[in-house]
Amino acid sequence: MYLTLQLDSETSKDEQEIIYHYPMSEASQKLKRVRGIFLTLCDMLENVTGTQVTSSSLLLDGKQIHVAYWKDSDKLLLIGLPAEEVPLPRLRNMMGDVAHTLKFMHGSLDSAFCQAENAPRLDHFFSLFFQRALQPARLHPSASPSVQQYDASSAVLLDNLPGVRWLTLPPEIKMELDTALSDLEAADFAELSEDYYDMRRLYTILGASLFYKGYLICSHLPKDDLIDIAAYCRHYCLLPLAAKQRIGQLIMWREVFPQHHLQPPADANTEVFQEAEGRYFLLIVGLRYYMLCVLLEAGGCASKAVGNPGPDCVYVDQVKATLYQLQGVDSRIEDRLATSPTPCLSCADWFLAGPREKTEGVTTSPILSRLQGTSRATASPKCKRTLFGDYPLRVRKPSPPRSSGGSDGACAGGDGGGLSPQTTPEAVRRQRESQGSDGSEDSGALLQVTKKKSTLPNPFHLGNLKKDLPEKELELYNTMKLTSGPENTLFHYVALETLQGIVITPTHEEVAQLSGSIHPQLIRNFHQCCLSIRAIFQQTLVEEKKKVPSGGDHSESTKSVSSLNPVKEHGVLFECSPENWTDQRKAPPVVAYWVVGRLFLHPKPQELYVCFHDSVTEIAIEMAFKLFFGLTL
Amino acid sequence: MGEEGTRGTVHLLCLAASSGVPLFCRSSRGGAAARQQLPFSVIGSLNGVHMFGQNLEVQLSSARTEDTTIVWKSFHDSITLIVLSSEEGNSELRLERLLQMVFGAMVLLVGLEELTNIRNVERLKKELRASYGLIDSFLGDSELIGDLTQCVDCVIPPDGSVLQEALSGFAEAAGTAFVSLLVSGRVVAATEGWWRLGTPEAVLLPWLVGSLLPQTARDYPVYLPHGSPTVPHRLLTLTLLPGLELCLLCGPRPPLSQLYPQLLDRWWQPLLDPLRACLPLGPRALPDGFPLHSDILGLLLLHLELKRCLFTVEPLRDKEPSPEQRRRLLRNFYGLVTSMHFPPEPGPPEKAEDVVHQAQLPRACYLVLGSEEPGTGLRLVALQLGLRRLLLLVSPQSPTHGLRSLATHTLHALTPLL
Repeated sequence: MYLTLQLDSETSKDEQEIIYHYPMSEASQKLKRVRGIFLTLCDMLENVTGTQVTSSSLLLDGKQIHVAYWKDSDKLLLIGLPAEEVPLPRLRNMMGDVAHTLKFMHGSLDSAFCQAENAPRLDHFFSLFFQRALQPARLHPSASPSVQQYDASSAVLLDNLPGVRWLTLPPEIKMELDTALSDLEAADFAELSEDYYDMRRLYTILGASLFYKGYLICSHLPKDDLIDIAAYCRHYCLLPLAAKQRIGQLIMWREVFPQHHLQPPADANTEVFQEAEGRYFLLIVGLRYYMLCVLLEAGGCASKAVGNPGPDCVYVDQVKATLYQLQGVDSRIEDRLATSPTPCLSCADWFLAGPREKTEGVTTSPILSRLQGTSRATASPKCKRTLFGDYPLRVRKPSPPRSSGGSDGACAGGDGGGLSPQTTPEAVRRQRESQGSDGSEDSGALLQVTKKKSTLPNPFHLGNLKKDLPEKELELYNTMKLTSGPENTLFHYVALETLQGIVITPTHEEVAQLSGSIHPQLIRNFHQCCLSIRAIFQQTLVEEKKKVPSGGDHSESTKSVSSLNPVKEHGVLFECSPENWTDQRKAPPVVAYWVVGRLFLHPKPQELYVCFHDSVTEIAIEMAFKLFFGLTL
Repeated sequence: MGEEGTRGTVHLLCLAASSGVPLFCRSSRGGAAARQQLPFSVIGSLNGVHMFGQNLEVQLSSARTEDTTIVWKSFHDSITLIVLSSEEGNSELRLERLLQMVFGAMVLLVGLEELTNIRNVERLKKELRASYGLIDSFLGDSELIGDLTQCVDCVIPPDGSVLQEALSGFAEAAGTAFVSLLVSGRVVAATEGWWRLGTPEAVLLPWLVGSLLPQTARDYPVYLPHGSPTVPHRLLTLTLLPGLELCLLCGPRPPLSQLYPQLLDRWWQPLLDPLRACLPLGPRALPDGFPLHSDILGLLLLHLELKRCLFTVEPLRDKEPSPEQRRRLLRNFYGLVTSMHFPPEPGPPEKAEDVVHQAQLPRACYLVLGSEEPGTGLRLVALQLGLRRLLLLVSPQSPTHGLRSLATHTLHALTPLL
């Protein structure tokens, strides 16, 4: 393997200070020779500044290399990666992830590195790590390069977020999944019943989480456990595995050390529930596109585990049974993946026009002109809100009037007129149905749905509706437009919710539908930009954490006035044009788009990243409200 | 400032690269020069790790702890500069440029020859003392921003053309192409020749004049780090009005006595009124009555090709935050946008970055600070248009979605000026 990096774990005491070292490349050997630098810096800077060294940068053969430090009692873990591929903030996050995952797998860094028999496993671990860091595309083999590029660039971003990619599902499906998981967790099956064998059960099921094609669809695990397990799965590339092909059968079993359970609570209050001193095991069973992760506890009310128990067939069978039970659901999940319910996206290429045209008005807007041919029902686009007046997801705060769209006054008037006394929720529901059935007629569902956003069916044409589609499917078409103005200008979004540890972002299928020439580039740039914005937000989060113990100190707030902290919103405007523009006489058309990140600290940190066209001014708070509303695991 | 611990401290170390002998250490804390220095052993190890790496062909360039950043840089294999800073929001970009400016200042006053070919360390140490004033002004809170932007701080006088004419005539009479008119370290007007001075001396010379104690006239030997690092020139300064100085850069001729008072009176006596009008310009940068939107609290305009900038935090002076805080905010924001979004220099980027980066050009960006209540939090916005880059500090009452048009309008209004 040719990689210009290295990894050391060193004790600063004995002569044999290198405990583990990987890989054996030339650059890595060079770094190994200068390990004195790292040890000295680690020691000296802590004495001088009172804080621990986090990273340093070196020039090696003309290439800049960042080295991240992780100090764990008297040991030091170092990871070095070329700056060109991995910018520093990302490296720091990766370092944190590595340390966490290793602790999750082995209990502590000491036990991971100091046991000789672990060495081959660590080699494998770090070989995967470096591959993910340097050649992310390789791990996402795919038919088309654009899809592969999207997978790789989104993976880079999502790996940096403390959350699991989540797929929102209609309540019916979710309920079914919840029931299935609850049944499993109750462990009320005959072989496990304590009366049956008259012995204590081996394990208590703490919780389970279910993935479908790499998306989390249901989880009954505490957030910390979920994050740990997801990081583990990500590291061993289990999630993409299920996304790309059907799994015949996958069973993984290992003892794990979820820090969340093992760490004693901060306050030694005996009244508070104490975690039982048990051992924990992770069972992962994959079947077709499903993957079910189950966290088991031995000890506590189950019997104590002795030695290194292997997977217990009873439990494996039960998990498998649960997955078999869910066989019927996957077609409906597929439906959800194939359609694009929330929120709709546009393709950047549709906006490739002279910058002047775009703001002139609805009639010349590229999307609408595209859609005019297909649009059957022609209600005024301005008053689209009328129809959804009572549907919570569509409730919007009035936004300031804009030149490009209809004024709010006009729409408010429309509200009054449109919601006639007969417009009961039932009628609204039916209109949604009509929308759904319309949208599903065409294979280019996305374009259609976009159209629906702009032009909604006229209430007088309700008679034409097809009503033969089952209602559950129609629920899937709960379309939602995130941007304001008559056009849908949203290109992409990523939203992180840390309370539940989930991330939502368009599915691969949605993105694949938006093929275009510049769109993939745009998305890639969006992901990169999000990483830089996130790096700024992380500083804010660090400062926030520091602030908590010191209380609302006044000097703190005055000090922070002069530094760029805390940052709550950051936006960047980009311009791009087609890559190979050959027409010399004309300037290439330009698309201008914003990448905006917004950080919400309370009640729990939430982060939202959106990418939208420049023609309409957006208010990030509004978008976030719409996206996060009603998100529950 | 009452900050506890080592927060807000900057230590600057200068060592002879070959011997490791410290040449000087300067420290500042909370923007003011400080006595407190690093222990000798720390200085030794900081230099030691850098040297150790160099011997093994690994160049240590920077390191960070949770609150401190350290940057190493060696110049001409002879001088090593190390800066250790725990100022809030300091970027590596700022520290790297700081070291460049510091080395420039050393060359300016001592000459490159002395620095690259050290024969007598003790003598060099003594000679370098002359540069302390200038170097300390980089470490402290300055009203200028040229050290960071590497552009010359300018002001826009109300009667620019009159002053420009007088300046050219005076330059001809004095027999030098390099003349400028400075008000508290900022350039009011300068001859073509002066503007052609390269970086860093174009920034350093006004800065030097601003950092010296007020004097009616000076004759000061300087080396030009870019243009003439080994042969000294003479920097002549003449105070026209308190705070307003005329600078000339010339060879052995003319003697100061020839300029002062005859030549001076002839050219500048008739212009007393326009000159007086320049006096309050220092921190304001823009002429009185220039229409700025009332939400703007601070402004930084850069011309990337001319390498000049306008920097002011004067609008609505009496409002929060204080001018010092505004200056820091804009400085930090400049560091952020320059290192993260906009390439520092126009034209082809030095490194062959991916195609995506060139195809996706950042045009503008904004930042909203502060807590979550709506309508609070200062806003910062940056806009790049052609060769100009504008950074604004905007009051919390301004709506976020209007920031870009505000910046665009302001930039258009400022375009004729710079």
